[in-house]
Amino acid sequence: MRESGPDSLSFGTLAGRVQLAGSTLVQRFGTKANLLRAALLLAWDRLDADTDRALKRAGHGGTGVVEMLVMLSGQYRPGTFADQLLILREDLRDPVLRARGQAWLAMLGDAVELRLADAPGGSRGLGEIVLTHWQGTLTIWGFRRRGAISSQVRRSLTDLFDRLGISRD
Amino acid sequence: MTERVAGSQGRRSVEDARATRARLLDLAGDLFAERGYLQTSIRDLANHAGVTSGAIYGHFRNKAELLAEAINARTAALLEADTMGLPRNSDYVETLTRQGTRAPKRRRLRALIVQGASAAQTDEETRTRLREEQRAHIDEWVAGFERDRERLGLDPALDIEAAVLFVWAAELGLGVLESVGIEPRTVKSWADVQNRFARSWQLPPDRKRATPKK
Repeated sequence: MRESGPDSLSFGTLAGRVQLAGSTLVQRFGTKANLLRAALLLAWDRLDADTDRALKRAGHGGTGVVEMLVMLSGQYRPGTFADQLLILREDLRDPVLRARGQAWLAMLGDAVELRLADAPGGSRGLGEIVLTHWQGTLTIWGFRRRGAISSQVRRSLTDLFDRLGISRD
Repeated sequence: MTERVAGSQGRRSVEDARATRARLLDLAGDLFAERGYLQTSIRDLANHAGVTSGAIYGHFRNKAELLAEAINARTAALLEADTMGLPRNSDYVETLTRQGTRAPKRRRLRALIVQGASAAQTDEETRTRLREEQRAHIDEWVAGFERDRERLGLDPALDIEAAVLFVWAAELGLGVLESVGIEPRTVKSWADVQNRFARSWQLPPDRKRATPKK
């Protein structure tokens, strides 16, 4: 899926890669939709584990938020960024996966607001603004592929905090 | 007389072709945004439009071109008419704030771009087409701000391309959050953020006075 998109995933192509019979996979998953959902749930599990690690490692303040979101922007493992967009898009059609997406973004939003508790005027609503900006930066990078994604995210979020008058400490 | 009739028929067929193309773009935009880009085939579109797949390929080389053109048409209609293109006498702070209040009207455009961005991860043709389409709009917006930098009172040190990408990132990021059902808290809060971004591009009042006239 990461290499050529969810539509290209089939029992046949997967069977060739994992050296199992296509019929074994059909027996295990039943339909392509079930296979796709299982693969996306696995991608969500991985992203949740990455998020958990990033939340534990990131410090307080704007700097902590930038570090946290840079860690989640795919610089450590090629393909993570594509995973994020793939799984967010697939959420459009599947309520279970959509709920995972909502929960993930809500958790990140809370983590951002917790770290920005000292922001002038309070941190309520900042989680949404920061996540919106982060996801938009990732989307633009996906089109342009200019420079390292980690530097783009760092620069963009730092600029956001400067423009909103939020201290990075 | 025969020539006049032929001329009129020729004009009509060109107009018909334009109308069909516009209708296909509109329909494709709706279907890609609602059902997903990868999940909508040219055959699905043909069935909805009541034409053959061949007729669609008569207007568009492939699905990626159709997506790029659909995004282009909606961006022009919803943003540049509104306007990121900045007519000469506009107040850009007011314009960007107004665009913030009108964000709900652009929901489908954002959904389309997010669909395209996802497909672009694994499809080179879509990535190339959308990169060109996005580049063209961003270049136009940057050129508008560069042209009127002084009149708008923008900070001479402002990197205009970075500023335009900054506003665009907020628009696209909103599309990603909406794709999983997360809405901005209120339209007013969104407009306030846009207003703060726009004002942050200007020279502070004390530096405005100190700037020598050319």
